Amino acid sequence: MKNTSERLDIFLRNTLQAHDPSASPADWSEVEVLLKNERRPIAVKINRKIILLCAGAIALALAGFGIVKWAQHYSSLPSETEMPAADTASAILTATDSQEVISGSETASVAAADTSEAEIDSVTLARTERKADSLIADFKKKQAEEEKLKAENKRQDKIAQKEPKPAEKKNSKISSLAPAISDSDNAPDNILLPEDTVRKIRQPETKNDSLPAADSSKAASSSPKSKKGKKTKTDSFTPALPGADASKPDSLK
Amino acid sequence: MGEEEIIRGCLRMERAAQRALFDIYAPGMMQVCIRYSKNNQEAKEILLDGFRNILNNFRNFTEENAKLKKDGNQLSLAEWIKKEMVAAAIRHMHANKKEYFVSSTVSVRDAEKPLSSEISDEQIMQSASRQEIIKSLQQLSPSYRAVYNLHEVDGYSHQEISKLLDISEYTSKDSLAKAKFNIRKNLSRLIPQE
Repeated sequence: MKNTSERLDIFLRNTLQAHDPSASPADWSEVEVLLKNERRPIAVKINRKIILLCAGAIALALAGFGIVKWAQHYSSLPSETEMPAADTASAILTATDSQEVISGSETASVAAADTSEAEIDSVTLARTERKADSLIADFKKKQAEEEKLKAENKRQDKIAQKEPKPAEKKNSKISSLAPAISDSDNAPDNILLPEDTVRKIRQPETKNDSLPAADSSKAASSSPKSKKGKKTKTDSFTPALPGADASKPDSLK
Repeated sequence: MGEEEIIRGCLRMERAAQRALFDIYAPGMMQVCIRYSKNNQEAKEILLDGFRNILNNFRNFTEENAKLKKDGNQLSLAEWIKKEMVAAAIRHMHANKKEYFVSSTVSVRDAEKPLSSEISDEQIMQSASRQEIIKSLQQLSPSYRAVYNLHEVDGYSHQEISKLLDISEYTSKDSLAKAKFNIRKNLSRLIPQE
């Protein structure tokens, strides 16, 4: 393949680059028609700066919106002083106290709901409800326990009245309530109480007095003092019920 | 109207400045379009499309010069207009891709055979007119014609041509060789032999 020589290439280049006056360009009117039909685009310069500015403005707007929402949220929260008061009261509950506290907390919560019904958030309402529920559950538990205790004591009373049993072996099981009784072999007619408790119940001043139904020797021999507190508590309900004490472990079982 | 006034006027999209710009640069650009096209009609289409693009996006001239100012390679108005016109010609070529792969006037086998009436380069240089040279150029396939014009006439490197036409450098070099061969062949047939 015979290519063009360098001289020919230069000749062709010069010829093609040279100005040709005979060349007739298009008329301006044709160009003007094209320009008129063109829709002028809106000159919008999209630079990095503009993009960054827009992004910054959007971020600021979102941050401000977030701050406003946050402030509204915290200002709408109800004061929580009522709940701590209810919590502390429930810790020192007795049967009657717990009822009052619960009713008080309920009324407080209702009052709070009434007064600031429009403002209380759904979250705070759920919290108060949960706390009230827990208080009610505690109170019910305690009520149930106390009822049990009462029932047991009644049973003991009945049993003691009907058939005073020699509940020596059974008494031994009730170590938490009547440790002295468990060691004694006396008749169930007699109260098997340790001396200490007897003294405290009947005659706390006179130490050596023995109960008419109690065996002094037995009482003196065995009297674990560590369980006085419980003994006194139960004995306050049932001062002459060795048999009842014997039945207690069964009920507790 | 001076060049600066024309530039300011074109930036403001003033008709008078735009017309002045067209009147000054249209004849030269027409010659460029003729080289890149297969006939005068196509050249006119490329010219109109090119000037519409130049006048509508005239602010690109100042923006590109602002970027090139740092390197110290700023373009003059004439250079920028020519660059935009070449881009318009290439866009036109890509838009008419059905003619893109028109086979060259000479096949490989024919290229190996010597012509019975082959003329020398000197004869071509003595006898060939501008019109015949342009006609031989217009007879080339669009891809060969574009590569020849870009490299030989407008001074683009093969690397720049490969980016403009989306081809490899090897393809660009091969197309140039074939374009030169075919131009010579076409001129041999066009020039009347004595």
